[in-house]
Amino acid sequence: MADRPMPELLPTPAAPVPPADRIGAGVLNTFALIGGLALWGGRALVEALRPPYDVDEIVRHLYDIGWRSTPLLATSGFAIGVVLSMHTRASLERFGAEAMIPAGLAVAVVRETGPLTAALLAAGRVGAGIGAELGAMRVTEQIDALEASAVDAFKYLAVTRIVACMIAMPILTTVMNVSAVIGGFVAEHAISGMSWDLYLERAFSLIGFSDLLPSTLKTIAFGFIIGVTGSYLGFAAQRGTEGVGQAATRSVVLASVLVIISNVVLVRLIFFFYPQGGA
Amino acid sequence: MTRLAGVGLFVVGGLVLFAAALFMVGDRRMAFARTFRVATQFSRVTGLQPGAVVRVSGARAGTIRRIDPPTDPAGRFRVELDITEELHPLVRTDSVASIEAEGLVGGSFLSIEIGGADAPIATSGTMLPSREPFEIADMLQQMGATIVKVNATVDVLTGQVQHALDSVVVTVDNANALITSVSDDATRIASAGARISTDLADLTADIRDGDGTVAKLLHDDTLYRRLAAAAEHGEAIAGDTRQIVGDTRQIVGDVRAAVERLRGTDGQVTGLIDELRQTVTQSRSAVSGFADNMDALKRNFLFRGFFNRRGYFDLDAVSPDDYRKGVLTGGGERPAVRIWLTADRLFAPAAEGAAGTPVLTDDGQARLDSAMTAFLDQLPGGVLVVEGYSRDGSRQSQFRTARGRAATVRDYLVDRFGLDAQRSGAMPLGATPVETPELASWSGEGIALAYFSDPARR
Amino acid sequence: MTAVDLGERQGGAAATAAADAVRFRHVSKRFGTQAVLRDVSFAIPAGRAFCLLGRSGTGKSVMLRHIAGLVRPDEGQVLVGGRDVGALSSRDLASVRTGIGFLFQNAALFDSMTVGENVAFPLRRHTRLTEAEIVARAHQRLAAVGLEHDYGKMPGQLSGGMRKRAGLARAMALEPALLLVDEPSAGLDPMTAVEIDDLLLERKRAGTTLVIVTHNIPGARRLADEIAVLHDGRILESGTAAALDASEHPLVRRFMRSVGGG
Repeated sequence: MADRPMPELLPTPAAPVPPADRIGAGVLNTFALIGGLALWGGRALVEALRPPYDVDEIVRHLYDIGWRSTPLLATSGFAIGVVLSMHTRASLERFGAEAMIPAGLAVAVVRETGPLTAALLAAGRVGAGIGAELGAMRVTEQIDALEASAVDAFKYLAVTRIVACMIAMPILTTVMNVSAVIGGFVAEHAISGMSWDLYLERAFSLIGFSDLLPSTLKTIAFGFIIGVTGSYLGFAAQRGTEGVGQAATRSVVLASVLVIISNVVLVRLIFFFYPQGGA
Repeated sequence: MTRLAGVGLFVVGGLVLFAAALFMVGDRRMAFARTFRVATQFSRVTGLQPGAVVRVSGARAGTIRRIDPPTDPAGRFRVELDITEELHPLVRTDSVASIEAEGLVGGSFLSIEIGGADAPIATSGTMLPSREPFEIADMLQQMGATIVKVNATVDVLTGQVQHALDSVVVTVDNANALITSVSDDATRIASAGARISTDLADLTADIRDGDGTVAKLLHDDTLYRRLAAAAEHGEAIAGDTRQIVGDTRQIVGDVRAAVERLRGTDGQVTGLIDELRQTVTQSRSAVSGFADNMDALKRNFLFRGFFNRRGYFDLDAVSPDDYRKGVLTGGGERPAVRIWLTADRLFAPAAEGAAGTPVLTDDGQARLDSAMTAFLDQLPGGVLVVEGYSRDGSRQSQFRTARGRAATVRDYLVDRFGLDAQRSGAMPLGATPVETPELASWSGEGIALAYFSDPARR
Repeated sequence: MTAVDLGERQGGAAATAAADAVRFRHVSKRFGTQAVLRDVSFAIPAGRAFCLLGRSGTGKSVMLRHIAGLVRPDEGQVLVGGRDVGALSSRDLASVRTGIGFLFQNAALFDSMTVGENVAFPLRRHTRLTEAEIVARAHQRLAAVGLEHDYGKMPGQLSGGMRKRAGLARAMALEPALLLVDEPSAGLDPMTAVEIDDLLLERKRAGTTLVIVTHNIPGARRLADEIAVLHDGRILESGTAAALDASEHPLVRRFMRSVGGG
């Protein structure tokens, strides 16, 4: 605890500075931020494995992060399914390949659209929530109060949230995928009257384990990123309500960007381990 | 506690949904079905991957387990696959495996044909026979090669044919009225030669047009096979054409020789003309064979199954001996129906003694016409052979007389009924009939019309 | 050990290092470019009430945070019960912290818990009491600060004074020997401020060492055994209220005469 560096963002220079210095400061800040996040995340992983496990807290956050995000994710997934179905229809109709709509939609959703959209929505809802909540706790000295009560605030506040995010994310992704497939079915049924059984049969015709497993499990990493970013920026919040808002906003932006960037790496990694990427 | 209930529902529900999805995938990948494992080999795997679908007669049957590359360039890829027990009885040791593409955008899958009912059921570890995948690229390459070959042949041959024909014309002019009957044939060859050029041009255009068709039927194996046949045709044409040219040269030579001899001495004129006529007849059959191939090729591109209807034999190449042994009956599949006609009813007696060119009488023509009516309704499919018989004189003279009779009747019938030259023949059989003539007045002199009907038609 | 001698001299009290509840030895601290504490040394004997006076931003709160180990000194040592807080392992620091109560300026109640749960929280984390005992103890602590009816309320439903009392109840949950108080009267009306001071006085009588950061002079006069005036990161002067009243230092005198509010 004592030897734990709390997140401290570099102070922005007060006096007007030459542009070159400002760019330099910006670059330094970015590196400091990335380094801080990496340390924060690394320690979170170590701490998550060390007892005590604050199961009650994890359950509480799972409720907030997972259960209460479900309606948002399910609704969005449904809408995305409907829209994707219309899009795939528009493009596949040209080749007379309407029969491919369910398969095309399912592959698109399961491989990328589902996980990424779920992660971005979670970054918005959950990342902002964590950033704001922890930011407020920092600003109102609740984090200090925890520390002063001999409680490891990092473990109690940050690790539990990060773990909850990592558990919730694949489940939310599954919810998203399922509702997108259902949404696609509703759109398909409305237009072509296709039966649920046939739709399901076709939807799964092109999906293999290597489509479903890695793309769903990679969202654990997304959950980790969202949790780490939110908690880091929340802990780093500056005094005042402005600091809380800033922590929330920055959490969303940074988490979203990091999710998208890490997705590139993860997809590359998945292709490395599953060279076929399909079948 | 509602929070705990929510979290429980969330986690358990999520896991159930995910497990259900995994099950759906696994079910379609036959991960839970009882399977048996067989193998097959390909020298090229064209995009086939472990995990790809296996279909038995189109039904989803299993998965590719592994693909082992060969250890040396001459080896083949070994493909191991699991097939569901449900379809086990259909997979026999003679079931052929092939790599097919799943629609326009899908991946490759392994297709296994249902085996023959007599073949034993494949067991675990059986090595199934395979058919190498064809690739559109290969096909196009082959097409390109064919076009080039045909073009080259056309270029070379047109020149040669033209040259030969010119010589023929010159020679024919030289030979003058002496050989009017031959000049008739020569003119025919000349016109056929003219057709060669246009036909080849058409063919080349057809093959070039084939590109468009090919693109549309990207994965039609049949098309590929037809194309391969087309390539063979192309070569056959080239061969035929060479023969024509060769024949023509011979004709030219013969004619020249004849003319020389005619100029030199007066003797043996008739024999020479006869010889010449024979050569011309042969040449004509080559020309008609060429035209035949050409037509077939054209029909080929219109997707007619020419090959199926065509006999698997070359009538010109059948010797009387083989003929007697029944090569044309196809092991009893094509029994012959014979109509016997004696020589005295067909040929004018005056010509009989002269060297081998019997002439049909009007009555003889009428008899042949009426005899042919028996075959007319099944005509295009089968093979008509005019058997010539004669028992007078030495064996050579028997043969020559028999051949003259058969050839005369055959020529008459070909002209009269527009018979397919490829599927009608003249067979000199001498004194001994192939079977006991169903004719009380059979004298041993005459012909028999033997019709071998098409087994596919019955 | 000149550092110890210096500390003792500046602390003013003739006590050994072990008997001191809190001792600062040449503590310096800077945040970025700004020096907050400059070579601060003093000692607080156990059972005494020590008030830190000073204008806002003079580093008073930072001194409290040093004691609780929330901030580590750049230079020097902070000893609590004779142990160097800045050099402790996290486990040892935790054991030091369980002996410290911290009442924050705005009480810092955990928003996600009820008032009762806030008070029960330290008990849950650091004792092996049964659930029933914890609830009973929490009720008892709340009753001691006059909040016996507010166990199930959320912190947001309480007034500023009530929050502060709840915060005090939480800080005292583990009955620590050392109580750190940051601005007890900040944001409160004078009456409520006096109520809070009464409660603190009660703690003092019970033997708890108090370290109070304030700019409320009347409150400090009531509570403190010793007062230190902090200015620009340094202790200008320390001593009893009467001694400071008689100080030669103009800033100290001016400070003692002002009537500090929130």
